[in-house]
Amino acid sequence: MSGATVAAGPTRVPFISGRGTRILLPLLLVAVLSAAAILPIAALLVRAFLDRDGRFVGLANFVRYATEPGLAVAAWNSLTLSALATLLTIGLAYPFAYAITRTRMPGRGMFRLIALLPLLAPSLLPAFGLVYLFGNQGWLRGWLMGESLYGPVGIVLASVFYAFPHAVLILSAGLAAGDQRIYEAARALRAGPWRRFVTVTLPSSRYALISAASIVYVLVFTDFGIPSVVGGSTNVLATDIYKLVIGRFDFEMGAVVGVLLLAPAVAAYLVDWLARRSQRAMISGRSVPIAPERMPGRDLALFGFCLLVAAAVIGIIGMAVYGSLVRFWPYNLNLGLHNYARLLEDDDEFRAIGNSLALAAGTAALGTLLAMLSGWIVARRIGPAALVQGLQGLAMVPVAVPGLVLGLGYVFFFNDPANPLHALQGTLAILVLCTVAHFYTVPHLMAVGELLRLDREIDMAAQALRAGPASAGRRIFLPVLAPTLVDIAGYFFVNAMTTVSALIFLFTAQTRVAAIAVINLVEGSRIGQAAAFATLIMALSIGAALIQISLRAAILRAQRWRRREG
Amino acid sequence: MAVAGPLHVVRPADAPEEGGRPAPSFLVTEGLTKRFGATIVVRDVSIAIGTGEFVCILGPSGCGKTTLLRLIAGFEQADAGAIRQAGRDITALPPEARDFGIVFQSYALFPNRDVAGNIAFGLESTGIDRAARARRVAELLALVGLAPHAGKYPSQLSGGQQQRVALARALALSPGLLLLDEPLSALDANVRAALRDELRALQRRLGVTAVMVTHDQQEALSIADRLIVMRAGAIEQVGTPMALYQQPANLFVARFLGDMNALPVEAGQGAEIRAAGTAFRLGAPVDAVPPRAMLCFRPAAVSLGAEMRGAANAVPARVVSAGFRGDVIRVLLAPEAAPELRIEAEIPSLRPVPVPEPGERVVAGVQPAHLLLLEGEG
Amino acid sequence: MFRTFIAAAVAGIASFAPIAADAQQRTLTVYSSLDEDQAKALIKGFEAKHPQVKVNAILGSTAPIIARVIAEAAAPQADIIMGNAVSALMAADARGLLLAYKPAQYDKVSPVMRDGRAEPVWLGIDAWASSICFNTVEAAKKNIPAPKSWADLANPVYKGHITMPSPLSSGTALLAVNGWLTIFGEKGGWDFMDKLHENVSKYGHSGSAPCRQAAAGETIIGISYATPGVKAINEGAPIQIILPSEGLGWEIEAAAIVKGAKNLADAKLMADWISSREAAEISAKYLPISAYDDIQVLPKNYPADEKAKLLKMDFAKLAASREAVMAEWQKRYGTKVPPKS
Repeated sequence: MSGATVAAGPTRVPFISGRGTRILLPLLLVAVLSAAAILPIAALLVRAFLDRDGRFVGLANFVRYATEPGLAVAAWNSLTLSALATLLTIGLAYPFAYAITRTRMPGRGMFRLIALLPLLAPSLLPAFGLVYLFGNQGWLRGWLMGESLYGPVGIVLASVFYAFPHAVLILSAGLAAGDQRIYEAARALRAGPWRRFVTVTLPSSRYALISAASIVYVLVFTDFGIPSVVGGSTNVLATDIYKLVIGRFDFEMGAVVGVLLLAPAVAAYLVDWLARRSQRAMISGRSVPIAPERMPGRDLALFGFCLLVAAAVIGIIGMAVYGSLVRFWPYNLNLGLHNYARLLEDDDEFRAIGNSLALAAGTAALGTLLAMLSGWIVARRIGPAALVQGLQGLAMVPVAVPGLVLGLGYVFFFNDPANPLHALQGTLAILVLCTVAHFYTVPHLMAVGELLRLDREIDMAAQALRAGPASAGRRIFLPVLAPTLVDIAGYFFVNAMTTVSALIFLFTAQTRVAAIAVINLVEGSRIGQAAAFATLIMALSIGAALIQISLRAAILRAQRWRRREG
Repeated sequence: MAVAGPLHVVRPADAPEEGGRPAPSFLVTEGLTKRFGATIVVRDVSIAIGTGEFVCILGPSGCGKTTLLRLIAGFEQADAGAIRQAGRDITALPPEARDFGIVFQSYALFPNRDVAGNIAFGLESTGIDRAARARRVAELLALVGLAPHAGKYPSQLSGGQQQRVALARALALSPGLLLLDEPLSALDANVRAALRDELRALQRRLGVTAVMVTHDQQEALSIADRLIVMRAGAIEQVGTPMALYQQPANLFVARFLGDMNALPVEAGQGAEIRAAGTAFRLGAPVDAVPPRAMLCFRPAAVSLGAEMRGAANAVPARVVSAGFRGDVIRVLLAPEAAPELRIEAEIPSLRPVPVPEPGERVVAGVQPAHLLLLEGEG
Repeated sequence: MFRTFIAAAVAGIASFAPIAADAQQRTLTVYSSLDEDQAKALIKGFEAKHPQVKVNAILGSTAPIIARVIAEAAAPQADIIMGNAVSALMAADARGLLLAYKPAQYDKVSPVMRDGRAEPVWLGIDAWASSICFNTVEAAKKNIPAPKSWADLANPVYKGHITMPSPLSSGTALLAVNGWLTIFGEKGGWDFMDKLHENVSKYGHSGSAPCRQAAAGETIIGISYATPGVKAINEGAPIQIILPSEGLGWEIEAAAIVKGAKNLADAKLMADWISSREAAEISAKYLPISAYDDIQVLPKNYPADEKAKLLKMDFAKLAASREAVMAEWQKRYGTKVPPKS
């Protein structure tokens, strides 16, 4: 019997005393998540079982969809292209994350920021970038060896670019933690660098690896933007839903596809659940923080690798930024700021930027609070096992749901006059709630991972010393979790700056955000200005990310205890 | 079953009597039961611990001893039963409303606070003024001998130092009860022995009641006033280290506290027992020989020598192997009448005796008072 | 500029709260898929006439705007839809989401721009027609001749050089398809599309995208409509807008009041304004076909003969066959992997 055996039963959790609170807190989170994500999604997906007039028709819509020509091809494309993109993404992201967390190569902070760039740019920018690089007029189109960008090649390329920062975030969070003494022990046992990697690093990052792979798979599987821009005529399930709902106003069939799109997320949830069962606390109160050793050969090789990846990321985005500076791609390449100048003439665009910042700040605040709470409940198993398991399940749903489904679900759910939250309709608050829900899964997993690595006995020690939740939170958990909090807030912030898909059904004249303004510009064929505006949004996001990074660095600097030598 | 005394035991004449101290009542559990899902982890446990007593809960991995400790602390809530501390029913109280200090196996030091900060943590929530707090921290630092390291962070300390910080932190609020969850198991042997003695001395000095969970019988035997031996969630036996060592309730307890020879009983009546083809005489007669009974004695109770031949409790045997163990020489014997059995003997190495050679014929003798008749393990 | 920015941020934060009703100012919520500049100019004109009404405009693409209206049916947020494809409006009308209203000047607009029913639901604002955006520079590089007719597009010389939107997700594509079915007849139309399919490199989702792709040199021929081509030309793209000789499928962009509008009286005022000659004169600056037949303005670089080439189309019949056409298209071209370029 040792402390490592984590009880599955009604264990008393530190700070949550009465049986009542122990059930109420997870219930509250389940309720919030349900209202923000599950019920709206259900409000749309339930239509899969209804006819247009709302009568229950069982599986008739599924049968109707199954007989639609092209389903098998779209499903096959979705499955295989997502798998290929996941493989490539993880293959690139793992060594990258390893290099920025576990080596002493120079420029690690810079590489981290560059890896996050795709997250900071509205999805339009990389789309432009890829087209300008590899499209029919692209400077590097020869690299595709005659293959057209528009099709499987484009989908996989763009998906890897889009999913890469998500994978790096999850993997580097997993790799950053660990116990240096295990490495010292392995060295003492004469394990060489490679053996240490295979026997210590790889197994201890297994959970992060599985998490990252499932998140990437689900992200790619459900993304609509990429196949619609560079997919050519390659049909995937995610574009089917757009065709059905938007093109044909067939919400019922769209809901069927929405239900099908949930499948990989359910699988990912099961995989995650299995992986987490075997995850043990990795940092105990006695852990010694990882102190990467100097290995010039390895560090040089990884530096080269990171340089290549960074060049690709910057190349793609830089190309789009270049596009915003030329007069008319590709026929008039005179440089100038005219696109920016024309943009700044319009007060509406300024208001959109203000709205975006407000949305991002609100999302970061609310999202961080909720993600830490739900992460804590799951990591510490607060409340009945079924409730905890349920909460973890709910938290995995948003990543599986295309923004389109979430946005329309929000309209169906919140616009119902019978809904007590109906008053939120048309406010920025509903955009905040929707964006928190949309990007909830990754921060939740980040919080769970971090709290799992924090020895549970620390909670108990604080409680045994009669510290209340607020006191322990302020004196222990806030300082220890500060870097994670900053990361989670930053993740919500930058995603809120660039998200579009769910919001196009929710924004109003007062709450129109910048990313939607970009779409309006594209639709108005003002490509140069769209690129310029997208670049502005990215610049703001980079600013936010820089604040995030320097805040994180300042915290780490201020917290002397994180260093082994004082 | 809970506090059952040893059954079918031949009580040696010089065994110490129980009951010298007043009825233990500082910490009492009654019928404590805890389930995790379908498994019963703690089963109907009733114990009583007196003020100032040092009690060790001892048992193999998975016996429920840590869960019992966590029930006492309030980190787990019992499914049945009650806990009283100092006359107060604390069964339903959350940990922060109870009165105890705890040291964890991992120490669970707050990584973001230095040594003084860790010790001061509990004091900060009590509202005592800054100066009094500083005095108390200094006092505790001196108590555990860490005054020079007050400003260091946990990651800069050795294991032993971290353990002392955890101890000082647990004692900071002057709790009536000190709970220790395998506090020494992560330390190396000599640090461990020194800290064990220090811990014991400190507990005596402060007069705090202590409950320690451990799986190390040496540690338990040398530190505790009383031992609680657990197996599979239930208590096997409670008593002083000496009593348990000398009068174990069964072979499990006997073997958990030290090596024990066990020879299957072939026949017996009254004080006459036959085992390993040899007639043995017990110190006192038994009413009935239990089924699957084993005749047991500690290796240290065996003496070797030709002078034993013909005497009662003398087993002619052949030496299988002999090994030097520092203080003692451990000799493995095969009785001549039952060569498939083994008897272990321990002879002091300081006495100038020749180390027996393998194959040598010897006679092993055991005093009747050192023989126990225990129920075997099936 | 910095001050605007701060003000915007403050306004953004303020908008977390539900909007408090302003007693002095009436508001009107308008959903529009018109060209952004055109929509803004029309609203400006309206607000000048009715200064007590503040218009909140939500601009978006044709299909998402209607999808939003359908989804919001339980408690309509929009008061009036100012400009959306009639075929898409009919989908909302079929669900009973639009209110019949005869605007003040209804009888003065040209007959073709009227709903025509006894209780009219929609009123035409402008019309747009299929056309080809042709990139002359890329065509010259590959020695590809400019097409003159739709039938020309079936020529194998264009293999891999044509993009068009999918009629499953774009009203613009449906214009073209309906046009071809009108020109070549039911059988001839599908035969033509079978051959065209061999040449198409990509079916997209946006009606204006093929023209933008042609402007960026990503394709040589984009089957789209004129406006994005005109804009690209104005930006400096080597685009020629070709209006094929057989004639053009076209459609009306119309306004309609949403049933359950919270500000019905002002929605009617807006509908009245849209029916006015003044409003038509504003729209005519963006598209040559407006609600008043006699207004003749040609936007810069807009092809002059568009109006003359409009096909005579049976809109009622086309609306009725919409689902069937989509299903047939999906059956024929939705599954096959198109040829590599």
